[in-house]
Amino acid sequence: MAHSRRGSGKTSAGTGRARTHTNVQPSANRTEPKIKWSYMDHWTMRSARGWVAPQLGPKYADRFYKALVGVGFQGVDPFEFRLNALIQHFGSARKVEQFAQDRGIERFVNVFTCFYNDMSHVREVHDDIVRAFEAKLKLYEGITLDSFIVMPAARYWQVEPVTDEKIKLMAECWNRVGRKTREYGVKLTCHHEFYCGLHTREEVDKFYAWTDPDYVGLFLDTAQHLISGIDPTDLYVKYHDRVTGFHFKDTHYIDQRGDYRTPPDPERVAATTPRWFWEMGTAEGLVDFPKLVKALKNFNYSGWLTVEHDKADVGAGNYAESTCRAKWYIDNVLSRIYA
Amino acid sequence: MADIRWGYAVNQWRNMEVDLVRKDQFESAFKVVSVCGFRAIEITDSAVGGPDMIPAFFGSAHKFMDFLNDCGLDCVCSLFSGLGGGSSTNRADHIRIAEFARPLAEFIAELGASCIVVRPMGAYPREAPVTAEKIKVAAECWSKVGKITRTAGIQTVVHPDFLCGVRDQTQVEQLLESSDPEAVGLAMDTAEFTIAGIDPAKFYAKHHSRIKHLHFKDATTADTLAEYKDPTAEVDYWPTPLVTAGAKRQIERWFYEMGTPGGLVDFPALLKLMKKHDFNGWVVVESDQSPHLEESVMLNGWYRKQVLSKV
Repeated sequence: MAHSRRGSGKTSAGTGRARTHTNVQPSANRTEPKIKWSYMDHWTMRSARGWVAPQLGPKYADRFYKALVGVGFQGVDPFEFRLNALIQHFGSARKVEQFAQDRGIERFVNVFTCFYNDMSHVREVHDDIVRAFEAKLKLYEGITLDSFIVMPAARYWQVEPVTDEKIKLMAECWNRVGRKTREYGVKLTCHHEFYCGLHTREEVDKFYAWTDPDYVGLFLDTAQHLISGIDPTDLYVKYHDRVTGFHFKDTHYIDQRGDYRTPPDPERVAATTPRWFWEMGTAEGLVDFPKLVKALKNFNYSGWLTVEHDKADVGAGNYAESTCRAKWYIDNVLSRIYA
Repeated sequence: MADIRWGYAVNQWRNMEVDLVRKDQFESAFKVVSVCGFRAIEITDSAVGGPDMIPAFFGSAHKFMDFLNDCGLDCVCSLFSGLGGGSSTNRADHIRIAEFARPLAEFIAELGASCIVVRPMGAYPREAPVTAEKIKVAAECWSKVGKITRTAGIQTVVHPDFLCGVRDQTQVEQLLESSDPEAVGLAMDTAEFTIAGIDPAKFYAKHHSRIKHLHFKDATTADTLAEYKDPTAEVDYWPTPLVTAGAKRQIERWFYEMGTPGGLVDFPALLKLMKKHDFNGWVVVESDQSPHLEESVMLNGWYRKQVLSKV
């Protein structure tokens, strides 16, 4: 029996209609690109132990960096705890970066920081926070980073009531940290999770009014702001001279029931959905990415943009599929607007 | 001058009956293949399907092509088909197999394909003893099929695999010598050949004029224990047969992504030869037995861009 090992389905005769094939090509008249794409590392991958992070060991990190380069990413934005794990494997941040570069990654761009006391509305912890960032700067000596990304306030339920006085204390804290990191050539930039203590547009505006533009930037996460009811393009237009980077990710929901106040962690336990974040290009997506990219073009934005998939593995999803789908959307939709 | 085009096989997306049947599943698979740098797909009877299935899924061949193009792919490069069953070693089946191929070839020509890929003989345990006479009969079958598909502009290519009746170098060469070179080409699968003990680069150097289509995938183990003779080395199943060879020594996967540490296939050496001999056709990368298809496509995309493009 000469059946195919690819499947032995019975077929029957039929006819189709002739057509001319459309050859989909990247955008024409390409000039030197203004945009490079980095990838925020939440990655998980299959192993004999089940799903694991690339930090389990060099053979997993090898697959991770190759997969990103294979689909066309140029940079990586690591979480601090993920980069630190790889430093334990390889010996230094520079050696980790070299490992990634040997596989085609240009460099690490931004580090999403953790491990500091995030009660930035309490003045008594500010000295400790500054010292924590001094330690980070020392650990990452030898590699060039654009920025440290922070959530500038603790979770909303830990901060509320959010008063002007508390926002001023947060601003004071991050001004100090930003001044310190700038001494090392690294920007301090703030990423507003929808559940963070700086949640509403009014709170966000006050924070940026009270922080020093030389020391504190805005890292704009498209989904997080939209969940809070803030249009990311409007926010970019207002703060374009302070925006140091973006997380491009989508959401299917806007928080209309006060999920942002849910203890302990609204990203994981809020009532509206177990999965807030989606890759670009899903039919239910609410973020208007073409509108944002047109704004980037209007302001002649140049540099790195970051794709983030945050909890893409909730339900039946997986990071590799979400990442391919998002990069497809970049190559076939966004890059035709601005690249 | 060589004209090497890169496609991807979608057979691995169709392991289970619930796989690759909904539009969102097709869209995801096609976009993943496209964004990782591949321009076409190889379909099978059960993975996307032929003229009975494609219009049922998409409305018409024309609408299917619109869908494929909208996902960023140019065309279907090839169809791997069982041609409705029947045995190439049974002369009584030849006419039926060949006539079955005719509408398939006409249909896939409209999808932009250039090849119909066939298994030259059934699984070894069912065909044994595999004699020169049996191979000659199979060659007659594929010569008939190839003549018919050529009328639609489609090249018939035989694809020996390591569990097939035609599997070692002597058998493959007998098949080539016994078949009409105008009608029958060879689809060389790097991993299948390697597992069966054939060096793909050396084989290509010797038989490049007959090799019209390639499958690129890696292998880390060869069948040195004659596991192909095991009566249950391959088990009939739907939508795709199950490869169980190697189970006694706990081999979970025979096939791997290009560039896998410990991989036995020398892809750069093979590609150099293909360029030297002006190969003009499709190289179809495969992810057979991958536990995570999307990551496999990304890794194969990496290898093509970072290693093979520099050859």
